[in-house]
Amino acid sequence: MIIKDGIEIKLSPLHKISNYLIEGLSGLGLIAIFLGVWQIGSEFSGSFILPAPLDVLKRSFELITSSNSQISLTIYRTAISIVLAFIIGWVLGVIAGSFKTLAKIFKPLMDIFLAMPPIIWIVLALFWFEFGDMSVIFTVFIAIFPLSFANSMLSVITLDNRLNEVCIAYRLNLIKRLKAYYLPHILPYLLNSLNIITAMGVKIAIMAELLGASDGVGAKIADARAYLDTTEVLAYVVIMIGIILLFNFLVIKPINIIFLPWIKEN
Amino acid sequence: MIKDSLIYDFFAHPMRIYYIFAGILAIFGALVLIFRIGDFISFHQFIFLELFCAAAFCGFLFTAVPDWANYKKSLMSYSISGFLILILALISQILGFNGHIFIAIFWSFLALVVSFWLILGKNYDNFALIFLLFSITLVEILGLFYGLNSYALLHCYVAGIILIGFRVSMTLGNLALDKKFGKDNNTYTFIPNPILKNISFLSIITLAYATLLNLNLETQGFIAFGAGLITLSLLAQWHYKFFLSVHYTLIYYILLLGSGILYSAFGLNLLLGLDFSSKILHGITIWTLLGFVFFIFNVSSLRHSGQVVLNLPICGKMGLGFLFIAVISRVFLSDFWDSFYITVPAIFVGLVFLMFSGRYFIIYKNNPFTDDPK
Repeated sequence: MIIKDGIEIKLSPLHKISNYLIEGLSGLGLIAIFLGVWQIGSEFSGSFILPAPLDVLKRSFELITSSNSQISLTIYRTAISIVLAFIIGWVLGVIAGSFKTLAKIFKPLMDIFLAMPPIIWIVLALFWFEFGDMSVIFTVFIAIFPLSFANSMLSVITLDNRLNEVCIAYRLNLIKRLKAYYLPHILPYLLNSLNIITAMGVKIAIMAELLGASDGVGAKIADARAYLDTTEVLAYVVIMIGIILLFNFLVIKPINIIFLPWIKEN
Repeated sequence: MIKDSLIYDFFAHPMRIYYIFAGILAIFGALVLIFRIGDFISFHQFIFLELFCAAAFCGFLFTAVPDWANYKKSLMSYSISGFLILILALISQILGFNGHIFIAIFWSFLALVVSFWLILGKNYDNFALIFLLFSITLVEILGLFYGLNSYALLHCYVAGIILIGFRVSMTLGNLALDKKFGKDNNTYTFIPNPILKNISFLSIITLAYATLLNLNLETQGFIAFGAGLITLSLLAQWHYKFFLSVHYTLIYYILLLGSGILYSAFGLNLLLGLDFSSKILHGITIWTLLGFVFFIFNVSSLRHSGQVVLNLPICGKMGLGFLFIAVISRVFLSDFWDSFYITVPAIFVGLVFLMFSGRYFIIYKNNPFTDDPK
């Protein structure tokens, strides 16, 4: 980096994103080295306990290119749940955060929801919606909704009122106030929440499909478990982790770079 | 009288004698290959990988480490001792004895001397360097008993180049900034990313140990591929228009780019079970090892010969082009014509160091040694 008077010089968002993408190769490199360590583990434990990473990667590739992998079904279910949980959680969170009485009312409810193990929701969803889409979508939604809600409520509660007074004193209109006051404070919470619920959503969706659906990645993993096919189980794991990492790398971080340039990534 | 002589100056400032010696060794190695002298395969390996690199690293470290450790005493005894050990190694190898013993002694000597200086100067920030020097020593000593693992040694050297290159890159970046804004008006400072440098170093030294321990090819492939990608990630910090328009930062960039591509290709080659290992490793040797060494020779020689504004002589710029031709010949064209396999690369590598030795001997002769003008 180039610094002037102890401060890093400003770069255009495009330059920053290009640097970010190239520096991202180091993350990919570290994953490759981790795969090397995995390979050693595979040599010691045997391919049944821990299949070789190259075999797992090859199988992952086959699954991605195959029409029978049902990855898209799981992504579809997860995406619906995440979008709903994110939007509803944020709207309700903003409302609850704006009115202290509502915040007080919702607080114990949210604590209960947050403490509830997702597995309970899976069992309940099976009773309520039977096997299939609805049961999985509901489970994922109900498990991640409290996270989105709590983050949203917290972001509004922690707004600094003194800055608001400054905005009023300078008679800033709503757009300027959004740009200078609300967004810089709320956006980190928003992105953090999106990051967490995406990762949680994918994990819970797979678990819900494993226990409460006859299709989707989770169900495929259950089949692979029945056939003792460790390679296939790990291949699905690799794909789903890859999707989470890619989403984080290509969506969350670039938004951070563009809209929150003061937040240090490294 | 002796103190005024050129030879005294060269040994008192070890960079000079060792760089010129390394250049002569490279020319000798190229001649051995061109004229197929004796067991030229193992002999050229001994010259390039062991003697040349030992001289090159020693020249740099005997100049830089006393500066980092604030060691002010004469370096004469150290430089003469090291030089004699290398000469003994060369002679014993020519006479058919085992020159590797002296190389192992040399690296032990270098590791101990550098550690001693750093400890004496209470400089505890160079663990990576100490670790590297003892790793090379270990490879050499193990080589005496089990046969030299030349690829592990090559990766150790490249790890060393990453370490040394980091220091050099800091100088290059700041000189480029001086050039753009004017030395007196420049308020900007270039700081290369030390975390990426550390990760890059660790990945390549891990590859060296994986090779030394003879881990399976897939493991080595993954580590090499990772090391290549990490090396490529170092490029991001050079993506400024003025860095890519100044010749020395552009050269550094191109060397780094080639190294990253070659290591990634090496990793993929091992992972996919292809048969290009030897070609790519020669590419790494010529481009990364010889290329960086040649470039660092140029930069450090000029900086320590009173040149405040860095401007590589024409031979320095042409050298890189010659090395590029040598790499293309050895890696891509060697299947088409036999001469592209050994003769053409050897001629171009020989020419690079012939130009270097001739030009820099004159520069050293005409300019007194100066400290780095920081």
